[in-house]
Amino acid sequence: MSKPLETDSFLGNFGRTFITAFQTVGAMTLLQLRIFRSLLAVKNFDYDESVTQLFKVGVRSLPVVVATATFVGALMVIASGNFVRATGATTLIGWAAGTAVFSEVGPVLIGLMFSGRVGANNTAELGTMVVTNQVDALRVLGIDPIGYLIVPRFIAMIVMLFLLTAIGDLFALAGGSVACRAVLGIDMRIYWLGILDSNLLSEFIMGLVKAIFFGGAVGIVSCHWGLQVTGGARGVGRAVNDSVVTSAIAIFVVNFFITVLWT
Amino acid sequence: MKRLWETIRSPFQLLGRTIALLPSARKSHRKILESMYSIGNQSLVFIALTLAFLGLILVYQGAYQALKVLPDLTPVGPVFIGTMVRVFGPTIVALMLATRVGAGIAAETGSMTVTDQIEAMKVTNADPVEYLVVPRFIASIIMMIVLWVFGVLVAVAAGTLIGTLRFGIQLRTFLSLSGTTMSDVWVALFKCVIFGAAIPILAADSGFKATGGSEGVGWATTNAVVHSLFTVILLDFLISSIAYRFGW
Amino acid sequence: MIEYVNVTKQFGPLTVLDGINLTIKDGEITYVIGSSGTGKSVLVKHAVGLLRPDAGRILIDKIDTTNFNEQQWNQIRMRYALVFQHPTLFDSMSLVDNVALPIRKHQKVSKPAAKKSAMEYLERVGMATKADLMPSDVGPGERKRVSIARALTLSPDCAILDEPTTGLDVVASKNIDEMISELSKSLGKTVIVVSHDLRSIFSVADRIIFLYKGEIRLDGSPSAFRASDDPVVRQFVSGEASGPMET
Repeated sequence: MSKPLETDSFLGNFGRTFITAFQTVGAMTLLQLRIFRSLLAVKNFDYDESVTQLFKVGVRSLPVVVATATFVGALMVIASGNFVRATGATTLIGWAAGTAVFSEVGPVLIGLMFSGRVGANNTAELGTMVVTNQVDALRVLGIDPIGYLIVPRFIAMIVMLFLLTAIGDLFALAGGSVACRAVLGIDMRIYWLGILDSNLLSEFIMGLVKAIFFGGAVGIVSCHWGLQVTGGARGVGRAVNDSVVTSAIAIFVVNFFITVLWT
Repeated sequence: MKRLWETIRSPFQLLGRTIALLPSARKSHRKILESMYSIGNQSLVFIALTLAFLGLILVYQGAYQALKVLPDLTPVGPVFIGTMVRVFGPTIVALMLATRVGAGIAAETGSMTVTDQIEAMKVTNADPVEYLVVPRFIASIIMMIVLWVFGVLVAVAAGTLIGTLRFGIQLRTFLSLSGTTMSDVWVALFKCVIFGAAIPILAADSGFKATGGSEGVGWATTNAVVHSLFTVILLDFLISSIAYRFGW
Repeated sequence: MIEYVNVTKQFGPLTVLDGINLTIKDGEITYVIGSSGTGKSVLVKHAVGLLRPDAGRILIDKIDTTNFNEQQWNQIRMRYALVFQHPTLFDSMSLVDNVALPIRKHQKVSKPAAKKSAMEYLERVGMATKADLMPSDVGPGERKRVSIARALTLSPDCAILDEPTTGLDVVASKNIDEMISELSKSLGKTVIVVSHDLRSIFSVADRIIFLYKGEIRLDGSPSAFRASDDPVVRQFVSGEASGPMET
């Protein structure tokens, strides 16, 4: 690090964070380009490894995502509870829960959970491989690390988060219906009717589109931080930390832009 | 099944020991303040960014749906602020804290564990829980409350911007506290304390269980994040349900 | 054939290679020796493009590699296989899967076919019985042998082994020495070995290159080394702790 970046003043820290942020975004863009270039060379696509990764990612994250989604759905219903109690508009419960879950809360919270479960794990795996020279070993064997390591994981994460969000959304609704009856004391039929009455197809699809972009984001972010690890065990820990933080920011930012563009 | 029980039991044990050691914290003012500073420093920008976008999206969606269904924009501001204070504030800030600070604590304690520094502490009669966990525990609870306030302010500021500029809501109509009650604040504070307590315990617990070099530290950090995220949501559900039932 | 032309490499203030001129001849066993940290690994890493020279050029089979991109280096790496000093087996897969991976990727065969082929390579290094174990289940000597097997799947013209016997007991070391000998004598391959294992050096090498302070101190046959009256060379050969050598 050159001298100018070593200030400890508040403004200095702020400035350094900014510069680091730009560098990180730049590096991730480069990685994304390399991934796309690798994908374009279709004959080199590692089908076997992609399938392996799909299974790993899916099996690892399904239980946790489903559990999270269920409770999140319940939470949404309880949160709307006060409002409904105040206005007496019980029939709106289904609509409120449905919209919230499909369009915002579902994709974002499932995405955050996914970033924790899969993204962090991915960064740790790749980071450990870098630190133990396994990535260099691949290069020396003439195997392109991007094509073999990164692309399959990237694809697997997009596909899996898409599926998980779809499944998770449904579990969230289910959790909401139980909370509706158990906590709010409202008949479940009113809840489900409310959902079916409102045409939520557009929200559902928007949520899935978000999931695709979130999956891609978690993929790029986790792979980037994994590949740039230096410094042994501490470096891997730091990289995992950076990875989940960056993913979270990316999810919130992308979420906003997709919502605005879609509506 | 046995592993599940062990996973649940171990953080509670750590929690118990931490609480038991709280009185000794009186002499570690400095460490607590250091921890607080560190947590704040690490998370400020991160929470500002994420909560700003959260505020933007909540108001955007809220106003959009209100226009579609009601069509009246007056409740948007008050409902937004009320839900921010009571629901999204504590929860989202806690989730962000879990990823930033939880991962950080797990990485630190994890690498100390795999490099045998924890063993070294025990051997020289220094209790790792007293030195490492207790200060962070207290700091985390305090900072959780601070960051909740900060986060809510940022989100409301961002929400106000988009509410007034994009949807043309009057500032006075928007920035109304009519949707927020005192009990909202109390419930939120309670959530902050609970979340603030849970995160460092889960993180340190994962860290202490790390084995095996960089792979172990990576695993510990992942574990900490996943457990913290899930626990926050679970606790949130429990607290919210009870609060609702009691009409708080 | 690998030619180093005036190659210089610096890491920060430290000049590790200083104007190295060297030609590795085909078909021989060349040992690059010197005490730890004198740049032996750095030297051989240049041969496969893992490091690039700060000054000078590297010619492989008379072609200047200065502006090679990663893809062109990949072609080279198929013919000049490097085996790292520290175990770099992929620890998430079994020994046989480790060896099968490059077969599957380069020969575009299915997983089962690659596995069968991999078993043959494992036989050659005497590790076939432990094929399904994980790298963490076997000792460092055995892991070394498997990494060599894995490198051999590329059917390279030249094998570059970075400190293959370091950290191994005498029996395991002798095994590796025999393998090196066989690679050259029976299979006609060029072998470059980085080492500071004196016993191995003097039993197997055709030619020895002694790196000291970034330069080639001596380049010749084992007997030339034994006969040298350069005090630094004498100290290295005798393994004495004291003397003119700076480490």
